Amino acid sequence: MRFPGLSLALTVLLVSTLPALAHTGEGLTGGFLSGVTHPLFGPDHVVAMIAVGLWGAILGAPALWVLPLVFPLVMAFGGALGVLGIPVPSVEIGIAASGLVLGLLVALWVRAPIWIAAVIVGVFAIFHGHAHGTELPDAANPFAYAIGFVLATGALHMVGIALGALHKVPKGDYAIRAAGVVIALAGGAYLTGLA
Amino acid sequence: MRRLALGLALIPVPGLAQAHAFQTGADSYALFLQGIGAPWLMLPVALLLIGTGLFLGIWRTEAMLAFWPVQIVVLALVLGLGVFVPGVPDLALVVAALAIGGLGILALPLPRAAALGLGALALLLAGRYLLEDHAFGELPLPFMVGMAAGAASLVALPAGLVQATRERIGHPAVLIGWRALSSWVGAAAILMIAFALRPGV
Repeated sequence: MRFPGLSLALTVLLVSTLPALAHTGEGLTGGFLSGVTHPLFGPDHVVAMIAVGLWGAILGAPALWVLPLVFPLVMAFGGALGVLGIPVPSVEIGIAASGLVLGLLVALWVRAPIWIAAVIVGVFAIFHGHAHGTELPDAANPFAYAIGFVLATGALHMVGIALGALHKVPKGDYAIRAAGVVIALAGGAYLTGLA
Repeated sequence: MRRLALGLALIPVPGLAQAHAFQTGADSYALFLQGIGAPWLMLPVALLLIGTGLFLGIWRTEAMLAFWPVQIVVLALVLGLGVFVPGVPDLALVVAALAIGGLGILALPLPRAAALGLGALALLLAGRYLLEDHAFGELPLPFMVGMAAGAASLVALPAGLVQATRERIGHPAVLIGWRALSSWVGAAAILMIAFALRPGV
């Protein structure tokens, strides 16, 4: 053997490794991360939540803040129904329709009264929440999951609101309308089974 | 070569670093730090107290000035004598968090006694929950003091943030933003209630 020392060191290295425990999903951190990632990994959910933020930005204050307030709250209610096993009809259709409808509302620059906007967003939020509630993984810490889930949902609305701020720059309205068209197309694709 | 081999072999087999592994009961400071962490890591407590801080900050910008004496008295009372009253289940805390989140959203102009009383009630619930099933005198004093500091910080930090942003920025959107955050406390509480009521849990 030409390099006995190196061989010995490599052998010790190999036998002294420990299992990687960074992503076991256990405990507070695992439950929280699971809650954060769950809303982010469903593109049909993501586009709808961003659309809510965009529509809020189009409607302006107070809808700008009321819609992101209504959506997580009602979505949590829908999630609670799902967790408790209480059925809601046509959930998948409702989710797909939310992308189509909210996308069109953004693309067409519809300035609905605040209470109508809140009702529309609230109804769709129940579908989204219920789907999340029924698909919940057995998170190690459900309370941490709940907090992560709500924070991620709210953060997606904030992304939509931030994108909605484009209407303050020249021709930014076109970018927002284009985003609405993309969201509506995505919703239409989900609704017709193309995606 | 043999020396080099032994030297290299030593590198990958160190023991666990113990520099920051606080041993329970090792000293008072360690216990104090553990006590601070307790309310932050008990999520129903953290949610309720953060919601309370937001509620107070939304209620009035100078709310914490009025609430500090109440907070100190209530925490001393509940952590000192709380073991003599029945325990508080998870569900009670998250229902309280939902209620306080709702009050934060509504931003009602409550009378001073009502707002401070609600804050005190939240602290009473949280403090009793923190004591779990421990008997009187079982928890060391530094740990109890740490728990009080941790609980107080969970209320004071969000309330202070609300106050600072409202005073420094002043735009009406700031208050609406905090009310939206309060609604997230309510939303998390709704999900927690569902988890607590879920069959088989």
